[in-house]
Amino acid sequence: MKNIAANSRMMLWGATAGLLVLAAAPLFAQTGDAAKGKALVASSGCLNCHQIGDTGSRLGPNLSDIGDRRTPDRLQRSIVAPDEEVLPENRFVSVVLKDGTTVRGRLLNHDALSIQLIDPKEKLRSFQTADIRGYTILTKGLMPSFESKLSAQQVADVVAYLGSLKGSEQP
Amino acid sequence: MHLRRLWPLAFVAALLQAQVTYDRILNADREPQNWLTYGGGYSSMRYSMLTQLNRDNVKSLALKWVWRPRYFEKMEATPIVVDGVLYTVQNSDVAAMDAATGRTFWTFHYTVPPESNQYLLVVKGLAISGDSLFWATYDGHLISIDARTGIANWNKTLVDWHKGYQLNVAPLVVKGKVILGPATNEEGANCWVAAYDAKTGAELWRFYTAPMSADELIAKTWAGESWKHGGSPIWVTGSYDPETNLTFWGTGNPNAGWNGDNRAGDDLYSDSVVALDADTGKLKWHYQFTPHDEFDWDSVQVPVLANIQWQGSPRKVMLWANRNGFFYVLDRATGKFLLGKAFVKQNWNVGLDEAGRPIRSPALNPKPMGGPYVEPGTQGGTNWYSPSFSPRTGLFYVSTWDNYGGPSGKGPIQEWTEGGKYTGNAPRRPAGTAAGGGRGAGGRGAAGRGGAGRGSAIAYRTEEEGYGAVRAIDPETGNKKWDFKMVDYTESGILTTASDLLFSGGKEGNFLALDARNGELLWKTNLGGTIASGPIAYQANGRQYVAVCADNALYAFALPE
Repeated sequence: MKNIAANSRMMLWGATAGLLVLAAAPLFAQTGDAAKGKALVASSGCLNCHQIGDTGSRLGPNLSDIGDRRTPDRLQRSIVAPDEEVLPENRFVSVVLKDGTTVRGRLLNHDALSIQLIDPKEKLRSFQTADIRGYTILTKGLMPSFESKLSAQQVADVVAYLGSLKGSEQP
Repeated sequence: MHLRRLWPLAFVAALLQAQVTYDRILNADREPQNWLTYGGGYSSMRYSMLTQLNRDNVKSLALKWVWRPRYFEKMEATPIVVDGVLYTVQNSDVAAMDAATGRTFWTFHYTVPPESNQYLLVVKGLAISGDSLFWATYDGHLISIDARTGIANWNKTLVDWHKGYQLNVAPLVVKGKVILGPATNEEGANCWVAAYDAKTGAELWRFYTAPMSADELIAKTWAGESWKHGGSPIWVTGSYDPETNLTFWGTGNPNAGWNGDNRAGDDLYSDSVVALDADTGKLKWHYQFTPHDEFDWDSVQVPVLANIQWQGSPRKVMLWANRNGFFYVLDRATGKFLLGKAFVKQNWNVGLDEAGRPIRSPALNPKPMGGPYVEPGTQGGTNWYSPSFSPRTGLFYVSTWDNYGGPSGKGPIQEWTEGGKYTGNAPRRPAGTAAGGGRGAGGRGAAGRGGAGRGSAIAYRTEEEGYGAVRAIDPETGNKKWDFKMVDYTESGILTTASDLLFSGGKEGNFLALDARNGELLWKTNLGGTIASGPIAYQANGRQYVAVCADNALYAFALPE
């Protein structure tokens, strides 16, 4: 899964991540095992929201080339303290319909009259603001911290795996 | 990495989402709310089953939204619509938007170097299969894009544009194969139709539209080694017949285009339709419309597959109004020639023999540096603009240029160089002089300078000197049933609907709704720029829309709420 380098959304994400890493907390020095990390990613539910290659969900950020776009330190922080950095393009939104039901998804776009999102079923959806009660953009992430769920070594393993994801070459 | 509290079954649910399968495209008429291929379905009839808009209420049609990309070139793309999401492409951007509002879900950007396109920086559109879009870029890449996220799945280089190739066509996906071919804009690069695996981009088969070796039988239809630079490009999307498993593609002119002195012979498979097995790419049959072309009469029209009454019996045919000014009916299973009849004023062909081979007027052999006067002119009786066929009216509809011609553009043949022009074209005459030269009427010569055609918003010409029209043709006879005449020429495609509406437009900027039965004007608006794409119909949130590109924007219309 090769992301085109010129994909503007991805460029913005990468650039922002690059700036943030300068202020990041203590450098991450643990040596990880990428194979073990891959297994942990598969068993920990990560792919319920993230996509790697052909596998996983499109709901959260695609991780297929995350190793090209984030340093190991930044990856480590995103696992143990994910709310530290939620880029605007990764925000979620909660829409309350007129009948009181709620639709949640990743925010894709909005203006004075409408809002667009991708829902958990990976459906692209658009709502007119006149047709809903309201909506709330969630500036904090929905990803839990894995600090108490994974050992430091396991986090290092996951970081090693994610760091190895560079996207695939052209077929 | 999993979301707390929310959506634990998101991944499972995702697997249940409907994808655009082969069966869905095969039965596209069962979901008229969508527009699944360039031509609206494998038959390329551009006929919509939607009837919410009809002859009575179409006069109330109103603009609902406009999408304007950040590029200035005219848009020729036909959008794709799937389940309320509209996808389109222009220059270096592919966008997904809410089909009801035009609001963007995502934009995918791939910078296409402008110098890689020697045409007009346009692209005809996208294809979809599964949950992937396919974009053939004019710098020679085929890119698979996730339709949900706008992220590339893969990006494969098909051709090197430095060698005189470009990709301009909207692909056609058949059973997991992405089918398309490159074009050469008079650069003598031999072209082909090929199929690529939708999952990986791997090439599965290739059919060359010009010879690749002297040993090939068709090489004998080119004198000497002229076959080496024979061109025969692919400019527009083909069609597919599931019953015969044949995919049909029109091919462009031979090179050098305006001077055939060094390529005596028919120059196969230039200016032809080729019928290929969709699984293997093997040629089943071909028919050549213009053997040994010296007038730039590409056969790059969309093959329209229709089932009609033919001499009292049902027959599965292919309908084709060609740039050379003739309308053809072929048996699509065998390629048998059934009918050929001029649909515009022409003087090059004195008849067609039993096999459909034209009998070229000896008086029309081109002479160097202009002359004789040839009708139709270089732009042809029609060109790449998509026609339509309505099973309800039984009529074939085509955007046409009539009553015009120009002197042959024959000039000296250049020495071929890789990536260089190889036209055999006469030097262009100064603007405002009487003759159009190789670029023909409607261009900067005969029809330019304040006349119909490019370059001016002011028209002075008379109908006798050339005009554009939406023309309805009876396929069984080739006879004209009606015309909707315009002063200026038209590059617009045509859409018909099951409520007997016809939508089209032209260079004048008018977007029109006509009565498909008789050509009566029912509704009009002016979009302020040339309409050079095919209108589509779709439904979103229960409302029927009609969308069309004019100049560099996409417009969507519907009835008022």
